[in-house]
Amino acid sequence: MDSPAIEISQLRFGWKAGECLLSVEAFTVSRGERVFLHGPSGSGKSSLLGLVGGVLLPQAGEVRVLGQSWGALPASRRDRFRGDHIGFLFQQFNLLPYLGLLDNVLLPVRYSRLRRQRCDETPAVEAKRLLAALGLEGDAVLSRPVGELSVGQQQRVAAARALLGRPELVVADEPTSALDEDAREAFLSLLMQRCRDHGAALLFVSHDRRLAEGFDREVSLAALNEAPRGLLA
Amino acid sequence: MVIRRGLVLLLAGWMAVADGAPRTLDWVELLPEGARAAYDPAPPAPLHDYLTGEAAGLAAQQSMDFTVNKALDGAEVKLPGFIVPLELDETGKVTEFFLVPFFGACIHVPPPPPNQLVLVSMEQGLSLDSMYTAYSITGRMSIVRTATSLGTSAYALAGTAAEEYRF
Amino acid sequence: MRAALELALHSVWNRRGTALLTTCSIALSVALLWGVLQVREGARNGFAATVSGVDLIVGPRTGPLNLLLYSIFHAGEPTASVSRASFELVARHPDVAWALPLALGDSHRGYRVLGTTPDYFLHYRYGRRQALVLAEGRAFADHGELVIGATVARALGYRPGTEAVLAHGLGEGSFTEHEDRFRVVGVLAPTGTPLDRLVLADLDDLAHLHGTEHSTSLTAFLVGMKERPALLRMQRALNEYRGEALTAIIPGVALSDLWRLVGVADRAMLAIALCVLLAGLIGMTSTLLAALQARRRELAILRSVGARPIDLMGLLMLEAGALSLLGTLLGLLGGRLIIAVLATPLEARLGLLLEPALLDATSAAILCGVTVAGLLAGLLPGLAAYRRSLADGLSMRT
Repeated sequence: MDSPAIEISQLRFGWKAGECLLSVEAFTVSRGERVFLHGPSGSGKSSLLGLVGGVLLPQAGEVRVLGQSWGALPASRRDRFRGDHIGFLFQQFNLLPYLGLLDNVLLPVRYSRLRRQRCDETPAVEAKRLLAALGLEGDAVLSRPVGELSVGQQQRVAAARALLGRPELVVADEPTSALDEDAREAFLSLLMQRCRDHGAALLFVSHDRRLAEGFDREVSLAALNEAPRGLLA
Repeated sequence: MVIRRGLVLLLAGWMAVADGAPRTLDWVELLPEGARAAYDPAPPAPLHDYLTGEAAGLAAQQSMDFTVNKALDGAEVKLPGFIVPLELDETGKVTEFFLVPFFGACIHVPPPPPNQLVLVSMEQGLSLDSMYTAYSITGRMSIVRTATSLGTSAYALAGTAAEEYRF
Repeated sequence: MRAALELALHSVWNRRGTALLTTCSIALSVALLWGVLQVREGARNGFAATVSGVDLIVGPRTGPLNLLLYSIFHAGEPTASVSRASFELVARHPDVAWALPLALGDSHRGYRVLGTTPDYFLHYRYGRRQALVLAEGRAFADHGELVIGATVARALGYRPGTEAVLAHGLGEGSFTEHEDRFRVVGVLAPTGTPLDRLVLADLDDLAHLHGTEHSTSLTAFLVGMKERPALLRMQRALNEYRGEALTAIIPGVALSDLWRLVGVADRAMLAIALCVLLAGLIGMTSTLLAALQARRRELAILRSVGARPIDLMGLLMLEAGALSLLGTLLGLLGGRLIIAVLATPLEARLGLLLEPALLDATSAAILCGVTVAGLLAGLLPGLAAYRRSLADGLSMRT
């Protein structure tokens, strides 16, 4: 039986000594599961994502991704593991302004040999296929400078990047907040489909509950986090 | 005493011949044996009459002993002294110079007698830091015949190495 | 590694506006450094090799460097003179092999005229006992004949047969030009020394111009002894001569002194050029550091795809290295262009011959050195990026 995509147990995290921002008894995301995490800004979700991504380490407890505990790895191995197995999607400004559209999508394979190998053909071909599946194709679009893309287009490019090389886990932090209403639904459905195609687990964080439909599970960070409320700004 | 001195000389001579190691000279050794007793390391009196060539002047000079120590002809020696540059190469290194026993031989002090003066030529050139620095020059000494009003022989040295001499 | 370089180059290209300024500042400082090295080499080439085989230079009571400067480099102003009688006395001496009289003071279209005897062409040597060679024509022998140096011939377009008028004094021309016309009969082959910029005439011809039949005073004279060891004795005697106040110098000694002085000067110039380069690199470092704030997002993205903090440090160092490399190439090229443009006037006016090669060891050394220095200059922003990215993590807060 494959280890879960994410497994958090008895987590305690705070920025300063003595402070406790996050306290999570247990939280699991299975392989291929799509979880909607409801968390308004300032509820500690950034820190949680940092812990899930192995960028932050907890004061107590354990965070495991694909069975690997972050704390057990040295810093550089954590970076490699993150690059190999997790794709990230942020709210906005996901792309490097000085690289072309395709090069932005190909970023993960610069740093992860594993993801490069997982591409069926060359990474470039795989990238184009992903972009097409996300609604971006044709040389006219692909040769546009990144700065000239609409926010919706940028987010889709970012999604392609997050999915390239079949990482087992995709973490999305409010990726639709910068999009307008109509675009949100479309984007979300594309993202979900691609994750299903690749069998990737999806941890989708947002403050907008209306988007929760279609997910396997909905969790509220407020309910998950047992830390005293007063500290949250 | 004589025996000991003789043994030392023999040893030195043997060493010099045996492995060709340069022999460190003292300036007094450039004088022939006989002149050493009367050797006065101070520079000689100036010769005002040299230029006009008046007979008295020249005769007075010729009466001074400028002969050389023939034993040094062909010897590998090492001699410390001061440099009077004569020729420089394109990089500023001195390729021909006088080696003299005291500083200032070309400025404010009368020059040394001809047998206390060595004309050195160094192909590879000597990088001269300052004319106040003394250098030890190693090379093959030779005695050349000259024909000036100052005598008929002079020292020349084909220099192969130079190093700073610290007092 | 190549991927990192690609990323660095793209990043630099994206900010090419500010990058250009940084590159230009480095280019300027490299051009200055290289230029200083060229001038230093040009000034030295031929300098120490200007005179050879001359045992003594004799002039009126004056400083040794001054005497060297005007008798051999034909620079400076001789204010006093030496009597012809003293010259004859020395020339006659049994220990003297030859003596060459020199008279300076006239000019032709900005080039100095040296009055001397035909023996000059026999006995004067430069470099390593190299004799003077005539590229065209012959030495002067008759009245009104001139021999000119290679640069004079090239700059004025003179050949044997060309007529010239000599002016009194050292200006480009004079308002009391001499009546007699002179004729070029010979052109010297290039020597790489101040001789190239000289016009040689017969001593007595010049005296005639100044109203006397035969010259009675000279600027200086050169002496060659029969045996070198005798020169110290002669020098002493001349310096102490009661008949006239004379200064006798040994060219090798005076040149050594001058060489050392020049060495101090050009070490100072080199130090200044290096300081300018350092300033350029510091400017680059501060520009990169200042830009870090705006790049936090970019660095966070890279961390999210698996870049390690050390990769980010490497990225910044490579950017700095790339900017330095580009700046250096620009500077080396620009320097050569400038010298190509200035070479002729520099040579004509200052006698400074600069002939930089397209590729040489110095340029290669500067290229490597400045690129490495640039990489190191990127260390500071690199370390800052390293630490910032650790602190920021994946947060997109700006």
